[in-house]
Amino acid sequence: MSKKRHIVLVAVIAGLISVSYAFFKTVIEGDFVVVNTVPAAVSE
Amino acid sequence: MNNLLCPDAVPSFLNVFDFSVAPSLLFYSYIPILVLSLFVGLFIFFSSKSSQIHAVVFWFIFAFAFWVADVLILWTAAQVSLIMFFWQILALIETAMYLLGFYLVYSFGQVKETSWRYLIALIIPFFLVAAAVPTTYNVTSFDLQNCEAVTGMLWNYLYIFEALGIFASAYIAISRFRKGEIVIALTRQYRFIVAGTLFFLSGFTITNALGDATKLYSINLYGPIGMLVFVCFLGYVMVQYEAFGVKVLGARAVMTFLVVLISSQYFFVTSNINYVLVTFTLVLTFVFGYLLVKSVQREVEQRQHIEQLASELEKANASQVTLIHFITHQIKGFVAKSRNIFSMALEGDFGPVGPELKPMLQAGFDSDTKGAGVIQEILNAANIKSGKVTYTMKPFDLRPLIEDTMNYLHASASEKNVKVSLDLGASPMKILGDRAQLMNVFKNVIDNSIKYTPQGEVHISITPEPGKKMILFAIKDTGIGITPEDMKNLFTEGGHGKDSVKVNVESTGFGLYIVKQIVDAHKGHVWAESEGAGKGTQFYVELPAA
Repeated sequence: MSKKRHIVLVAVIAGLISVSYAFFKTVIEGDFVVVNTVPAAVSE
Repeated sequence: MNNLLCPDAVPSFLNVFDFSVAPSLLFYSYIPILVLSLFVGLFIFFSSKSSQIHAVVFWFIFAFAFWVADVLILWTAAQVSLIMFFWQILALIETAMYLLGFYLVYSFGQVKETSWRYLIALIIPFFLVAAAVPTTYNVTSFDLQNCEAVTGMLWNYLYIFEALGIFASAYIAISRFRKGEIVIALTRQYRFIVAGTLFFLSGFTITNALGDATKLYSINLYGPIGMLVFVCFLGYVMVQYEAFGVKVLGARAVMTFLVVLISSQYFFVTSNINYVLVTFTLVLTFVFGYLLVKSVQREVEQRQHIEQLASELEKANASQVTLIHFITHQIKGFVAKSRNIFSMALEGDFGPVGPELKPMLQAGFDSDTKGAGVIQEILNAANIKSGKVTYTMKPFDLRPLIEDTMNYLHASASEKNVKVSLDLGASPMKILGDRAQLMNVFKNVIDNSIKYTPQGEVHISITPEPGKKMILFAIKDTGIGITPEDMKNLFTEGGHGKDSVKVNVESTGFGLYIVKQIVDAHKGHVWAESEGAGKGTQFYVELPAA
């Protein structure tokens, strides 16, 4: 495998790790902040 | 928080998606563009799996398709956690798309291969964005009332990075053009690829930035339309410079596009009658689309076959011309040698010639002279056909040329007792042309008239045509005439009249072909008129006045 293919492969793996972590944290664990939860009409 | 839904969202499809919120334009513009671009991308990828540039184009289109799919989910998903996740990965997809677009402009048509060090430098932004994806630098929080993510500072840098990418691509493309650093055969393709890529990327950045700044996300919907321009340019490059199968691809693409467009209506139809109508249209499109693709495929196959035959014919023609050259050159040498021997014998170089032998030697000499003339005519035709003849255009008076030609042919006219009259006018008739080649033209035309006039007369005239800025040469004879059938083959290569050989046994059939080729090269016209067999012929040669 050429050096260029290695570099692309490393980038793809890094991207997949990052996306998988985001999926786990956000979708599975629901670990994120929700703002503006009260409707504007109710807040009056 | 995992099952939290956006306010008013009703996840009707798969308990996840709500199509009622998204604008219609989203489905009408995004889905067909997504399918069409993926279709072209896959076609390019599979047309040459080993080509690096094919892979770059494919991944560029694929990244775009991924982005479109992501945005479709953002508009239609009802679950907050899902929307949040797809917002998070959007930055990474966009970065990959811009890097691939830049790499496409950078590497397409390059003489030198891109080094791996350069690739590492190029890929660093991707690593940085990948690291930021799950963090609050990318998406800080989720705004429940507006059902959208609140983007972090990464997005400001992303727009700067995108703008820089576009400017760098444009700069590289312009400097490559100026320095001529593109493979010559790919220069034209490069223009289209660069223009398509830059148009798409700039439109994409501008619409996204405007949409985000004004919070009017309907502006964002227009960005991906630029991909259509890129795909169209790519399609043009493929049609113009590449494979035969592209026409079939076009037909398939149109069919796929129509099917997707019609299918997208299933998202909006509510009544049963509309369901039936859409299904009916879809089935009809399938049937006619299939027939269209089949017929285009057949046409392409036939064209391929014709082009193959044409190329074989061209090769056969070229080898035929070479063969004619070889044979005629060889024979010309033998005939010239034998003619010289007859000439020397006639002049008494080999001793005194008796009265019984002399007519035989003269007949031999005359026969060789005619033979050399015939061979020269065939050689001239072959030279003209292969484009080996060059013309030296100069202005000169046509009248002395006709007089010189007549002096040359006077003996053959007298021999046949054909009366030749000339009407060359009083003032000079200046034309622009190659004197030696035109001498050949008039020799052929006048000699033709004399040869095909067993008895009677030949009249030659030259008249100016001031309105057309041309000079008209006309020759009228009272000879055997030309039938309408023979008229069709008159100026063709080796074209003989049906009975012409009976009158002129030495005809090669190349004389008038040569005349037409030379006159055409002078931007003139040559034609003949005859009322039929036995009614004489008029030949006309029209040449540009100087």
